[in-house]
Amino acid sequence: MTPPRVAALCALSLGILLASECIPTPDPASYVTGLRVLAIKAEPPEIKSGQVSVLNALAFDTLGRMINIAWETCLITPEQGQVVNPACFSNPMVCSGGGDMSSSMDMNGPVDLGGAMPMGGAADMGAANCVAPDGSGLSISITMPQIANPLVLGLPDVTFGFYLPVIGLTTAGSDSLSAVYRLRYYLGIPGSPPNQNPSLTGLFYVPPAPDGGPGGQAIPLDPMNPPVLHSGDVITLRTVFSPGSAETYIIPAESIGQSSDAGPSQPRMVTETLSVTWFATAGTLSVGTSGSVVPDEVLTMDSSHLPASGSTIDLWVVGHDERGGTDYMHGTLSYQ
Amino acid sequence: MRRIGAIVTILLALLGALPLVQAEESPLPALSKPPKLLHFVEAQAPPALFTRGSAEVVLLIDIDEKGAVTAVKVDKPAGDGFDEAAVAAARQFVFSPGEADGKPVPVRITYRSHFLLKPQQAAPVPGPDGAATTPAGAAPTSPPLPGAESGAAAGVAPGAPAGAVPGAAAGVAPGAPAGPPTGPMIGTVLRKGDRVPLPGVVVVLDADAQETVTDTAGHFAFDALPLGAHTIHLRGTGLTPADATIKINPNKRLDATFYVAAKERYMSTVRAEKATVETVEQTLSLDEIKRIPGTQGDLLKAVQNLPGVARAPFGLGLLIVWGSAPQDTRTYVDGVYIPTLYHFGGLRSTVNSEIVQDLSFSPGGYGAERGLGLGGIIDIDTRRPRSDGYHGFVQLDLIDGSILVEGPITKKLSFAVALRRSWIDVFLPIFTRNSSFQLSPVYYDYQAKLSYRPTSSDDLNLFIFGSDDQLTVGTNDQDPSLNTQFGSHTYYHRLLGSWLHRFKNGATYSMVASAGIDVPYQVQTVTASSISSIDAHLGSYTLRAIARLPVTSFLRVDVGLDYEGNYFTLDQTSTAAAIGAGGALGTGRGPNSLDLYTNHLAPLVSANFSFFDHKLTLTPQLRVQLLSFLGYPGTTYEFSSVFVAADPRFQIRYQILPWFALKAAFGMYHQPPQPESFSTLNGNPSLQPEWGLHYVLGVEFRPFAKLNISAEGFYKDMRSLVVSGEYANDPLLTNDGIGRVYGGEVLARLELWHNLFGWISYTLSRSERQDHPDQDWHLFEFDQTHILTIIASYKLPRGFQVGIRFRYVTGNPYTPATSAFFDSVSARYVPIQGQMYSARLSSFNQLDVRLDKTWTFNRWSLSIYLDVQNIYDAANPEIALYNFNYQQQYTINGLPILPVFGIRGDF
Repeated sequence: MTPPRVAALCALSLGILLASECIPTPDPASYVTGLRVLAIKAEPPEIKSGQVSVLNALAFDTLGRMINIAWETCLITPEQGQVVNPACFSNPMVCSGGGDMSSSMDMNGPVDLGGAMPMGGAADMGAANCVAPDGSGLSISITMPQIANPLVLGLPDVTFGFYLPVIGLTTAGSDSLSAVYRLRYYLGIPGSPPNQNPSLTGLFYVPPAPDGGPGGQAIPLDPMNPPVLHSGDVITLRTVFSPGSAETYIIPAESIGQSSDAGPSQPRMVTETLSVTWFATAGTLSVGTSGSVVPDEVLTMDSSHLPASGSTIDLWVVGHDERGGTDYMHGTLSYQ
Repeated sequence: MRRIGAIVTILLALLGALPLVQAEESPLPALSKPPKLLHFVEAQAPPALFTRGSAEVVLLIDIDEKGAVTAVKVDKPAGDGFDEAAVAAARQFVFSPGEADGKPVPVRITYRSHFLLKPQQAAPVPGPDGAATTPAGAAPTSPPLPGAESGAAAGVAPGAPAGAVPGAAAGVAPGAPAGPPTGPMIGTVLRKGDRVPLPGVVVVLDADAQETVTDTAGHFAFDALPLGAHTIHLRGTGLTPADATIKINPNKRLDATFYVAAKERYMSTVRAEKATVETVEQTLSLDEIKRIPGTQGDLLKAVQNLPGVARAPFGLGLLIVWGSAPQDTRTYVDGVYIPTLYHFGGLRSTVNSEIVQDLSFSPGGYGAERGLGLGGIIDIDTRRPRSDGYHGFVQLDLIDGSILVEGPITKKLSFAVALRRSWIDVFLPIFTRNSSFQLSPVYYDYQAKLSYRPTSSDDLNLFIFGSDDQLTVGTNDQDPSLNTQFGSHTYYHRLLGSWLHRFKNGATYSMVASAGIDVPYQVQTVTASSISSIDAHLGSYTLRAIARLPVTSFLRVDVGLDYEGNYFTLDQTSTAAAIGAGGALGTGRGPNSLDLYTNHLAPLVSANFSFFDHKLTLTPQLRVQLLSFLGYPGTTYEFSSVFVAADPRFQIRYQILPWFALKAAFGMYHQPPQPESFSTLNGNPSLQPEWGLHYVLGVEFRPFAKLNISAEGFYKDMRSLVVSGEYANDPLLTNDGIGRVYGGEVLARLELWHNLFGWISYTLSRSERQDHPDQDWHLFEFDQTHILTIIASYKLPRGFQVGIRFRYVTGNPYTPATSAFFDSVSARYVPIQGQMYSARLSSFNQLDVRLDKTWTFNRWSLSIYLDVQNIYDAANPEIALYNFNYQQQYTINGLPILPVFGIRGDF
């Protein structure tokens, strides 16, 4: 029996249990309680060596405690299947020379990028099993270090992107969590400019029609006059990306020692798919956490996450592109 | 004073008479003339007969071409001196030779000596001429007529009287001295319910007036019975004594059919001794197994209850044998590999149990005739379709429905056709109507077999069979654009032709060729923005030829060739890139297509030495395994590789005492990597075969006739296992992995005894892997320290039967998440894994209960059953999961209490 078939069997079993609603359902990620980091936005989101990007964290604590974030750049190369090397979190050594990766990272062997991107000449460098502190605060400036070979950042992802992991150790009172922003390294591929953040232009709600049917016109959320919800209400939420948020970029011909088995590869033009993630401090959002490419969301004030009467419900929407570009908006609802 | 005597009832069933050099997995050879007992010697009953009242010893008697007894072996002992008495008597028998194609041949027969205490001794007499039509010249004697056991009325098919006898005045021969008028009678004795002809049944007329014995077709005859009413008494081992009244009319021949209830449902199947017997091998037969709780009558599911087989999560039907990966254990149907034994969910096997003759399971240390697997071997032998009339069954339960029809086409040609389809897709929506998930699983399987026996020396079979599973899982959102659909489709189809020829010197030659097409997996995910699919296809073609050559009385040499070829294709497509930039997987860079040809050829030789009257057997074997791979032919990425491996294997067994044997085995095994592993995109074309060594040491112990105990210790050393690359610029897959498995297992198996049968199996083992030389050892993902299974089934009066199955298994290991971080780019939490498989789920325990009720009519039977799994609703964790930020852990439990009701009719 082949491993994929085993996976299919497991999917069946899980499906049966899900369909029969026999498994526990913990709170979804979209329900915000306690300390959370909901997004980190870098401006700009893709830079080349020596350039600076400003990172802003969207963090929230439902207990109202002060939030602090200590930032550090991890220079330890991820292994296969990793977005960040776990060693970055287990008391790693602090780099003595700051964040200059050009003098400290090892790519473990020669590569052939087929001329798809500038490589520099260094192929044998020392390893950098360390992290470089960057400061603290909800906002931080990060300078992309000198990178002679992007493979020191790990294997590329499906967008052929290489990322520098920036870790934010977030604390509020006695609670803490780690959040990571992976700053995309600009390869300088001709015809493929650096990625830009998508832009959300509004946060709307769609009130139900009087006859209970599909809602009518979308209305912007007004922080001064938020919509009032009651137990059992169902409200449709909507956001809109500005035109041009979905950019087109180039994935170069396959290289990096692995080649397509469909024959010689050609560079591919790809248009980004945008997605949104919703968060709320009350109610249940129909899409649990992330990845919806449809900018509509349904919030149900069911019995599982009802707030106190008269309280304000905080609502966030985070928009993503495929390459680390981020934007977010905040809104409020009132519960009676 | 009451006299003590021994009545010896002898059943030399033709079914049990076969050439001395056994055919392999095949229908029994047909002797043109069975051996006939010419000189009978009565066994001297031991004193234990006083206390036991009766005993039965089953012997295997080897008869040479001259009719002399050359060897007598106790097949089923009775102990207390009965075995010795039966053997001593049998050694003095003299037979007429058995013949095949008109020429004398050595024959092995199954012989039952039945000792019975009776008030008056009746000396056994050699079989009359009519015994030529009785099984192999049996020398039947009368068992006691109604007395100790109340005789049940035999069902008599009225149809009789029939067939006028022209020219015969009621049995009074013309010119003969005047006497009372008589008439002839021809009778047939069939088993009630399924109409199986019953050979060897003693037919007594009017309490000792006349008697005879049924032949292999269940027929008997009386030439001249006085006119009028008579009582027929039918007696035999394993039968409920039955009496019937008949009436002989003038000028008529009475044709009567008697339906007799089998006293034991679990009749031992008299069949050819297997040509090769593995050191560790469990054989299951349908009659014994199909009422095990939790299996829904599925013989092949019963494998999961044998020692050495780990419990698969959710009862998925994965075969995890002696700590090997599921894909390491290979399943063969009539010598042809099939990719999967079970439909999804492990609900049913893909081969209908009713067409299975028996199933042999070898968890390791198997012989040279099988290869390409580091785990165990499951050999399924399908049976020859019945030729004694048209038979079949229909079965319906909450999971599926199946039907089988079989019967003769001509005297030499018979057929069987079976079909099964699930209807979970019909029932499931009733229970999931309001769920956000919708499931639509469907499976079916089919088997069609033609068996042709042109001569007594040849058997030809044509067999087509297959299985198909389709599954759709989808979300059921109010907004269709948010829905996701997951589809899976797998199937296999096989066309198989086999030929078995028996030579006059006892040698055999067998050949099996097959062709097939498979979809090992085909999955598709559809979301609002993307469609991605993985589509694997496989064409297979196999040839297996084995010759078994008796060289001397103590040596048989088997030589053969085993070829297995495949053409594998793998296509991956995706219409959109994955959302988010998460996952530096190094994969998924667009369309992917793999074409792979594999050709695996293995010449093999095995020398089977037998010494000391077969007490000591030594079997050195060698399988030279050639493995070749050709990928991406005709492209710039073409690669090819060839590997040659000599796999020595050795088995030894020493029957020190009739009730005690020692055994050991050693073997080397090579296994090709999974075909998709050769993908340049997702795998590594430079992969090499995995290989391993098996070491087995065990004992067999038979404290009394009905109880068999076996115990084995095993060690498996596995090398060059395919694992993921360790470093960023390693190949995605490498041969760096090694593994080791060690443990022991015990099986205590009780044959039907006082209406009770069952077994207890226990396995203690540890299975570990090391993925890379610089990494630590970790547990195998299905490592289960303790596996305990208790099965018992008890026959109750009035056709009721109750069975239980209890299982206790150590929980599976899993890799815990020690912490997690929020990845802003993918907008999800990413776990930081702890040491691989360093945590375990809670142990599994479950009790299943099954209740059967059967109504047996003369020509058919009706059964209903209720199979309740997990009757005390144990919450058994199957998977450990975490909430979104890995701060809370929870488990998904296995199925709760699950009753399955079924109904079945056999004809």
